[in-house]
Amino acid sequence: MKDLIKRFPRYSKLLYLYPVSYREQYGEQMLQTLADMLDDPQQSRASTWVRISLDFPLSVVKQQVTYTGEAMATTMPSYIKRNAVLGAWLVAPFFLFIILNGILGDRLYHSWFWHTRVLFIWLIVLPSLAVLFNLVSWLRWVQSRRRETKKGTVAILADVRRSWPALAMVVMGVGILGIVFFHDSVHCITGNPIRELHNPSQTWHCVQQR
Amino acid sequence: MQQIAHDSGGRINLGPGALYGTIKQLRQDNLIEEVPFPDDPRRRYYRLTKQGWDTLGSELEYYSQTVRLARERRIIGESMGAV
Repeated sequence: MKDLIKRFPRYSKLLYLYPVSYREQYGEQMLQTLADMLDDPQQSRASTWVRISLDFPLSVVKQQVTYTGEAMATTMPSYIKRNAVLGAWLVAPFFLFIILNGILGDRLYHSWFWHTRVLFIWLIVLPSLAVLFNLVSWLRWVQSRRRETKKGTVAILADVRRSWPALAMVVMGVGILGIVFFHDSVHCITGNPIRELHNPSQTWHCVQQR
Repeated sequence: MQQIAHDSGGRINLGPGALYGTIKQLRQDNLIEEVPFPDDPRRRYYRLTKQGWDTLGSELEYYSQTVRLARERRIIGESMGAV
């Protein structure tokens, strides 16, 4: 194994892109197969490396997707999946109304969907709840992993295969809230900090008008 | 891999990633198993399990029936697709 790693230092490092258990089981064999391919006098080295460069990224993605799917089905806690689905429902109105408004040519913009209180619900409350539920379930998962395994915090945080739905929903919810809070046109609903900083009197005037 | 490339007329050129992905899947499905081969510890050898042979048999039977049907319907000639 050491000889093969010495011979192919870059390729053996790239094998770290595969899932851990896959790499442990087949990494050495893959290096040996590469050595055999390059030592084969019937094949040119250039064509072998071209084949490797085409094969490698596809198989890494395929194995990562496969292992993630297996982890979701077997080792991912049900509360992570349940809260991610709940979060998806909570942020769905944001995407639905924005897309519908675009399709209908700003018709929703002039309807009750864009009234301040309704806006507040689907722009602020629902995404905040999605972030809250998923952040709590992710923290709960980190705690339970800490108890179950002897891995360090960094290793647990990097193990996104078992927690990615919660993280994805947190990122999505925070993204929506970020768009809302920094969007120039909603400063009088939410209090855009940038606009307030630049022009507090205008912001205050706008809030009063609402 | 050379055998596969040769048998497919060069149409299928597996790399190590695709090869071991396939091996992993076949092992998970219990169609192949690793065979101990102490003479060369660097290499791993695999063989078909009983379930693997059964699956291979039923697949070959399926293809055989397909070719037979195609021949009966005159989609392919008598000389083609002899199984």
